[in-house]
Amino acid sequence: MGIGMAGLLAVAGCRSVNMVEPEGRINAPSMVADKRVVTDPSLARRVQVVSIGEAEGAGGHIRVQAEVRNTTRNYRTFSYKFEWLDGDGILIELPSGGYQRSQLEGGESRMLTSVAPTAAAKDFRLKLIEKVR
Amino acid sequence: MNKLMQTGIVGLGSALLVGCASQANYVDSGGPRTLTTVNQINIQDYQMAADKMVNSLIHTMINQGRLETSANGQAILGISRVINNTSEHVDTDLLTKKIRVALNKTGQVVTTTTYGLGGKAEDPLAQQILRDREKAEGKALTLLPDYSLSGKIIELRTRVGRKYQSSHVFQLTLTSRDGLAVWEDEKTITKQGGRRSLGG
Repeated sequence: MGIGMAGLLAVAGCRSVNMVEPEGRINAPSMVADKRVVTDPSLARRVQVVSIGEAEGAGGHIRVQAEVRNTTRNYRTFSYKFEWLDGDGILIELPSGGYQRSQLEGGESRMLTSVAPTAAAKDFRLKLIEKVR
Repeated sequence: MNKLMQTGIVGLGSALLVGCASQANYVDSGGPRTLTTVNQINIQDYQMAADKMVNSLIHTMINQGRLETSANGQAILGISRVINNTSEHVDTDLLTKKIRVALNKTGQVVTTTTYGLGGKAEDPLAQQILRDREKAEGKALTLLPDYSLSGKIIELRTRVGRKYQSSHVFQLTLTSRDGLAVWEDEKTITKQGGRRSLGG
């Protein structure tokens, strides 16, 4: 009976997201070939970066969008941060540029977006970390 | 091991533990280790709200070429009222200053510190200097803002049993000199926790 109750509780806690979208994406951003440095393999498995795309606006500020997916059936929390680098590879620091807290339901995909703070920003990094607090 | 030694070891161990627990550490203000409380706006909440607003402002006004500039190819921004509709004392500069800094770094927006609500300048000395220059040169030098930034912070609280939830809604509006809201956005930050996470 104990095993049955535990199984019931486990199922009750697992809710995942079904998603429907058009087969062919219209006006998709240009995909970016990325380099990944993984120091937390469990996070990389559970919250997967599916793709990264970028586009440049008329004002010259690059916009980036990363699609992340929760590959598990469980609710996951994580933090992420976009860092922007200028043409010389120097970090552009902003008081608003901290880690963003985010959450994903089981199986859910989400778009993380950022706009370059200046037209001089030419490169970016996306950092992800599992919930610390 | 005699009782005296045992007492000494336990006492020393306890003192070490207490010492470690009370030791203060620096943490990154924008990092993932900052403390989160349910019923207060934490520093990371201001950063998250400001980040979203900045992204939205830059994309809508600058990247889409909608920003109208006057002085030296830059738009002048005035800071208007940001209403605090929460139960805590909030310094709204914690939100607006981050946005101002980010807009300033775009090189396309500058904020006036000598023209404010009810004639009150953010920088009274700069305002005095400007007025003295106007007297000396005999002409008006004050540049009027092209845009004004106003907003509101609203708090919503809910409790179910031992679970507490608070939502803080950050609303901002950019109004043009024609009196039209040319940009608006809203960011809601919701936190849940037990009684111990309410904060003091």
